[in-house]
Amino acid sequence: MKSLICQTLTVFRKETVAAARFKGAWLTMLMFSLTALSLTSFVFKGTATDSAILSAIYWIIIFFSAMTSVDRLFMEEEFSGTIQMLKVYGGAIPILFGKMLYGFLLLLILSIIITFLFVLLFDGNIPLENAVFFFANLILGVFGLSAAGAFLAALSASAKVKSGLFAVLMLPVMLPVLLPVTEVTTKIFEGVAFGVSALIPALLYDLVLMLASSLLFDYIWYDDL
Amino acid sequence: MEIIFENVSLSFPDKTIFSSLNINLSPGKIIQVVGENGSGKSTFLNLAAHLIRPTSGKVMAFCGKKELNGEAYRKKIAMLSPNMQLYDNLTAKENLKFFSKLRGESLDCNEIAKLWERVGLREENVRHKYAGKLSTGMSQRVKFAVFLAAKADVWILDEPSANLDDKGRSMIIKETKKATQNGALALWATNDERERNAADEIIDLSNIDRVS
Ligand SMILES: Nc1ncnc2c1ncn2[C@@H]1O[C@H](COP(=O)(O)OP(=O)(O)OP(=O)(O)O)[C@@H](O)[C@H]1O
Ligand SMILES: [Mg+2]
Repeated sequence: MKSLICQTLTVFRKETVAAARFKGAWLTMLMFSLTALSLTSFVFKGTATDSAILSAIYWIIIFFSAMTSVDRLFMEEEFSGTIQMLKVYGGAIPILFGKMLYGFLLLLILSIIITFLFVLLFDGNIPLENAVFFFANLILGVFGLSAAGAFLAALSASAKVKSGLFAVLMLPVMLPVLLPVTEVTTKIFEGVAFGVSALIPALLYDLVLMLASSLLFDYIWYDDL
Repeated sequence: MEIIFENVSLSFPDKTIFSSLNINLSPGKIIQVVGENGSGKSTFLNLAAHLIRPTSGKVMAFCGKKELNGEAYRKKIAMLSPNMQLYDNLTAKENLKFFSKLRGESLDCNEIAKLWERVGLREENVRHKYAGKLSTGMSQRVKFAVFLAAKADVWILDEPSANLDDKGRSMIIKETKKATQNGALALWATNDERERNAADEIIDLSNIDRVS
């Protein structure tokens, strides 16, 4: 357990170092979300926008930002042959978790930026008493998106399954996390009262994702099992 | 460690590479795998490393009487092959530290310096250099340093001296001999006559029966 955490952090650190040096991946993500945000804010300028639409826009921007970065998570390994190096010298799970952690934190930082801009641009109303809920819900959603994304990216990088898979599996894997978090966000925008229990579906799904991907990944990553 | 191929067959969709192969690989030896291009040397090594699975039959790895599988076995092997690359955007040293850390070895500066020396690299030439900017031979040496840092019991070398000069070739031979004298098992795929005399045993894949 201790070595798993240590190795996961090693992978995470390596991803961060590489990202600090080569800014392409996360800059694309940032510019994407800024463009999408400003576009929608211009279009909806001055119109009284429904909370459901606002929350859908909000999550669509986060979802697409996640996809622009997450499907690159294993790209370098896939094309440059470091994947075999990782297979021999590292275990499957720390690599998956390390990349998930990196993808998660990157997306979380971005989503926080998006959130502030969103509130600004749309004269948004996140009632202060719901701010904690809002961010808890955001974390659950972002975690689900990056965990699922990292797993799918790893799937398509491995030799066993081929490339179309990322695209095809996205819908069934992402929807169960996007639906509940968007619903909670709508309620918060509306100012409707609700309980903590509204967060449970996303939380459960996140746990299932983690568990399933860690169980499956060894089998997918290595050919010998 | 001992590796046993039991009735191993391997077919790709268009081609049968091995059929009913039975081979025992015992420790303390350099076992060279030879044969013309495309005869299946790399495939044989990948089977031994458990990186691919045979179509039928078994490749078993024993540590004494105990059979090792999955992660437990993978921790015992180190591999050097043209299919394995360093991270271009990390320096040589970062690559070395990263891959050995994944293996649970934290290298200190002394150990790193010693490894550079063993593989014949001068530290000032590699310290801050991105791996993508190294010459092919230098990057092969860095990969060999990663390999050595793993302190493995099973050495899997696929054309290890490709792109190396004469000094590099004899360095690899020397290191491999030392490891096998200490009980490691070395599997070495090559077509280079100059390496032939390092072998304790030779498996020639040109002469194996490919039809079942
Ligand atoms: N993943 C694969 N799918 C289909 N065919 C493959 C695959 N890997 C190898 N082969 C085929 O298996 C045969 C043996 O390949 P292998 O790489 O083991 O040869 P080799 O002896 O190492 O050759 P070389 O001396 O050129 O390195 C070749 O005909 C190759 O085309
Ligand atoms: Mg080969």
